[in-house]
Amino acid sequence: MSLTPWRNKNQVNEDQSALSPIERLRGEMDGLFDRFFDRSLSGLASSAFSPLFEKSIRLELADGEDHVIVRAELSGVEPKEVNVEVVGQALIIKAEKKREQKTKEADFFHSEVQYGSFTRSVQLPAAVDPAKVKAKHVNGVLTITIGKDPTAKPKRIPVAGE
Amino acid sequence: MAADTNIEKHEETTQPVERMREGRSYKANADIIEKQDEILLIADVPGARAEDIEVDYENGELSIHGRVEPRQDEATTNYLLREYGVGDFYRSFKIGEGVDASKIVAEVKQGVLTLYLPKADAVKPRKIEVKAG
Repeated sequence: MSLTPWRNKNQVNEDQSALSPIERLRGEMDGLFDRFFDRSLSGLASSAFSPLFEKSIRLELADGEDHVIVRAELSGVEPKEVNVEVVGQALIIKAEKKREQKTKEADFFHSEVQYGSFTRSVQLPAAVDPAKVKAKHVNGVLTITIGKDPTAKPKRIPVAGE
Repeated sequence: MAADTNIEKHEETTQPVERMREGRSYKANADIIEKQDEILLIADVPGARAEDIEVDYENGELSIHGRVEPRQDEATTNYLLREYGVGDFYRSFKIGEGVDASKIVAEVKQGVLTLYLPKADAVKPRKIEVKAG
């Protein structure tokens, strides 16, 4: 019995991502800062242990005129296993990816997919209206649309002379 | 940081099959599980619907190709974070004699493709009855 992942060495470059190295570095730095500050602010009790066991979620964040769109690829996660929260100007996503198939470890021939708890928080680029948050999870892609708070829009204040 | 996520995707630099469209394609992460009379191949293909996925078997090679359309207009979107790329999925596996290729079944649910590869009768474990003489 043989069933082995096949790939041609010339065709796959393991380290390449869709982004340029600069963009990737920026994304990673942003993530690092976000996570560092989220953790140090959220108190010791919740942050001291959970990060060791929880895996991160990669995000796409698009800034629009009056809303922010956040996307994440969470395949194999049921909508009811996704938890989305907006706290102040932070977005917190938690997801649980369960194994569909009941399997013993010994049955695994090859394993690349990660299961378990995933969590991520990110600072949103503008003040948002918590009442205008919509989330949907279709075909393994989570899309969160968050309306910006119109009252928080920057306003130009005229400076009067004498 | 890259190692702690389930959605790490690997980009393929060249296009392995002719029908591949322009643009990036990614290696779908997969688990392979061996059960008593079948092998399960579970691959993550987030964003691909059932009609977007092609599974082909030819000359002992099983290939998975999932089309994923861009989710947003690239040119007009102001991305503040792009931690993963969006594109097609591609993966292929060599399959030995032990699989009955005519009976492979595929299903996709919430971005996870599951292939059921039944073992050929010849390799299935069988209990041989011992008769008393």
